[in-house]
Amino acid sequence: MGDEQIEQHAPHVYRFVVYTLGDHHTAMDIAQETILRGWKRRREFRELHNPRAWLLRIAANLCRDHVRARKNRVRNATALADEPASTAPEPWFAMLQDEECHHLDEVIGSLSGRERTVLYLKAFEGLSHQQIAEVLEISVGAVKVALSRARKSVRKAIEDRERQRQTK
Amino acid sequence: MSECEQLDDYLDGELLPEQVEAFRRHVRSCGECSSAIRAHQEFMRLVEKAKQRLDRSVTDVPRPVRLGIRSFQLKRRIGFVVGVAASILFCVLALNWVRTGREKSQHPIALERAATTPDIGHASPGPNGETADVAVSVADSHYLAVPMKTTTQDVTILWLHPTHEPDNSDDSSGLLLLSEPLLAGRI
Repeated sequence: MGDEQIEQHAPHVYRFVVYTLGDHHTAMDIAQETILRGWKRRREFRELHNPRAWLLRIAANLCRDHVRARKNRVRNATALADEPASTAPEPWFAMLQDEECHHLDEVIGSLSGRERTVLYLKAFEGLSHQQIAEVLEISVGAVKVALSRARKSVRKAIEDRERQRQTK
Repeated sequence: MSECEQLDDYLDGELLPEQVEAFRRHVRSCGECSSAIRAHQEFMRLVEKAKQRLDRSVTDVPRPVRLGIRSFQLKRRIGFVVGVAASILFCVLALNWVRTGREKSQHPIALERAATTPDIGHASPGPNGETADVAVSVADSHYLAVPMKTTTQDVTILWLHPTHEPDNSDDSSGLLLLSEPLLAGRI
């Protein structure tokens, strides 16, 4: 895996991280760290069947670490300020400044963290169940369950939106 | 398994071709599955649109990432060069130390050099005409010089035995051995 081959996955990694965390600067840092880790172990994974899935797994682990650290920071800060904590990711399709893209935030807003991520990896990255399971380090069965639940929530949100449109 | 339960496998493209045909026939008569598929298609349309806009917004991502990798590579190369230079310096110092030690161990004069180097140019045959052991004069003293074997041809080592001429002129021995020998040499 050469440098260029690794770097070409950078946008995918960035998209995944910014989708997960909702913060451009943090996403850029984590994407850079992910690519750097991939580059350091490029010999080990030269024959990798799906390097993008492997890079996304590194990014997912870094995101998990980041969220955990952020939760700790927020918990410590709120303990001092005595205010309610919020660690939910920011809606990020809104930054695309498109009404329909913004609607995606509403559609996926009701999903749990795992459902959001599984749906993203399936719909945006086109990964198979097995690859998603490898990225998130969960079973294929858990991927199918999360994906099925996510689709039901998405379907409900889209149908609600359609009904709202028709009543206007 | 009811045909409705194949919905997710159908959406994931995991059904066999004959199963796909059977499921599509089922969808025509199943309002639940057909509305689910319509919602999925609408969702995927939104996803495709978002992807196109995202691709435009993340075209600049590889640059800082590439810069980060270049920076890491540069640091690693500098570290490698410094490491190699330190290794070479260490090897040179170690070789020098080993060579110095070996020279010292092979150079007897360097180990124990006489305080004063006798002028062996004044050596003269012993009283009995010996060629190996010769009597030499250093200042006002007399010595019996005994050549020794050395490890190098460039070095001459002589054991110098201080001697004294007896007062008795009848003594034919000529020289008396007095004390411990001195080690002297010439390179």
